[in-house]
Amino acid sequence: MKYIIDTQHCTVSYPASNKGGTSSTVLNDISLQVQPGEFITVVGTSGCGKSTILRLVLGSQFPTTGVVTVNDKSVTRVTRDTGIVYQNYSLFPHLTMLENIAAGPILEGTGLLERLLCKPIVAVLDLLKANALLKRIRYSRIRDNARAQARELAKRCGLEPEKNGNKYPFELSGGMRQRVAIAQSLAMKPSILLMDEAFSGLDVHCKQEMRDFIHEQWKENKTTVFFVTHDLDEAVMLGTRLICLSQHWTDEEGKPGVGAKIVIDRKVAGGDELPSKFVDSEEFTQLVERISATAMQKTNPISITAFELTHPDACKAKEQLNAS
Amino acid sequence: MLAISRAFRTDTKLPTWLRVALNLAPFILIAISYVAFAILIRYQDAHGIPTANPRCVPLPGDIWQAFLNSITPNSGGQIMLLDDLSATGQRFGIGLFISALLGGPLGIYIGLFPTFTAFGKPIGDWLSKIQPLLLLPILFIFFGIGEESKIALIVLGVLPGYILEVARMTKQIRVEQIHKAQTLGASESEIAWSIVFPQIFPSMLASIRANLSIAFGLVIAAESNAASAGLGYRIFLVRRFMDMSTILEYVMLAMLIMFAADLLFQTWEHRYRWNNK
Repeated sequence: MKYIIDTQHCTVSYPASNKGGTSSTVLNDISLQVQPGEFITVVGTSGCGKSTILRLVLGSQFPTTGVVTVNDKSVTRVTRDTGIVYQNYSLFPHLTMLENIAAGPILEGTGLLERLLCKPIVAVLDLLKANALLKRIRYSRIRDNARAQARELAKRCGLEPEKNGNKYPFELSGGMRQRVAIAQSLAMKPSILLMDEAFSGLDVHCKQEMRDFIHEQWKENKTTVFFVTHDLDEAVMLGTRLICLSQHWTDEEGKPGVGAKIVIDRKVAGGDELPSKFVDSEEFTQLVERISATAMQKTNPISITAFELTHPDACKAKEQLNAS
Repeated sequence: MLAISRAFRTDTKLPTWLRVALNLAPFILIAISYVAFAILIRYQDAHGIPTANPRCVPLPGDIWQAFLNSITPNSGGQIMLLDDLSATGQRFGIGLFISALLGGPLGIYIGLFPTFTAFGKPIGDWLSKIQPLLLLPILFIFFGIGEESKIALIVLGVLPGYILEVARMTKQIRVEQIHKAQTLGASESEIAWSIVFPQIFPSMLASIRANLSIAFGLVIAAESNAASAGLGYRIFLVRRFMDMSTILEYVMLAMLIMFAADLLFQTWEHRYRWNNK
């Protein structure tokens, strides 16, 4: 089976920072495979290593041991194959809404020197409304195409480009900023969209709107989404598959382990439904209650073996093992 | 009592007329005190009371006369004030321009790329600790007493601090922004010039604004040592004749120039309304 994201036995640990200090392990032997088009939600308590996994996939951090591949290529740096939306700082504050969305296609379509040389010329020609001349400049054509695409994308994301197109990020609401950040990433047509606590700073109403919005975008664009959150409800509502990480686990012999392990990896029944319609389902309630009572607790370490079997594939494997 | 208690409240909102009046009040007080002091000196001198030389404290009329003299063409058709302003302005402008031109890219690269940080930061730190005026004799020996040594003094005085400041601003750009730019296909150079530079540009203007007085002080110091025109040269020249009127005229002009330059940069900086939001 072809995986779009494949992390094989990844461990992330930091060496001791000072004399007498001890090294710390953040992730312990994590293996995670994601198929194209999945909506993966990664949940866990604060500091359990959720964002570390995301950084491994993004390519801004590397595992101490193990390999991460995206699209069958080993991840060695941040590339345009993955889009990213953070809780904050996703937008460039010096660009307007439309410029932010068009930033990627312009960066990709034109060279630095071309931009530096042509930008002032095109600005003057814009002022003079010399359209015939503008059409003859490659930078101007690419910029206009990128802007038209940005306008279209903004409309699809409910951003009202005619009204808000020239507003700077500080003039937009939190929800709108996140929509722009998503549109900005989607403009690059990435194969994977990474989202790091993307809706954490929003109010309840806005959060619900954004959940439905990202779900619609996922269905429409068929992009693989890797969504990291500390909000369990959100994780269960949004994802088609839920990954739960925990630093508090015990091995087969009951000894406490070091570093986070995947304690739950299971497909969510009804995960294809729109989040706002998914809230009352029985599956949702059961799953949230069970995970809240166990994996999201820091008090009683949980047995890794008990939870690994919750994965449907894992159950199947065990059945096959028993049969043989 | 009510007015005094309101003055010490942090949430007091002043009406525009009061704010402008309070802005101007210190200047008016200084001017009134100066004129009163000048009149007192003259009174004491007229009555034989031991006091300072009245020439040291010229009246506003004398300063105005000095101003008129300095804008009157001399026998060679030259206007002294214009010559001095143009000489100082050129040195000041060129020195500051070179510092900004070199300091911007160097600062961004030192702030952004670890290799440049390791290479450039220690030398920047070290150079910024050297008092540039100490280097003036060396500059005179190397470049002669022409324009080059004065411009070099400004560059040496402003550049190291400016580079470190730009590097600090660059480091303040969130790493998330850099990663975001990379996911949008930006190369390292594009991150430096299309993402970092436009974002820190208003702060770079603020930093240049903060360096204006340092650069101006250095150019005056250099001119006072060796020059044939310039505000510093003239002030130190007329000092020999105790021509306090001309000195005060030039000091006030220098102050006005600095004020105008500061206002110019401040207005430019405020054009970027997204800055610091």
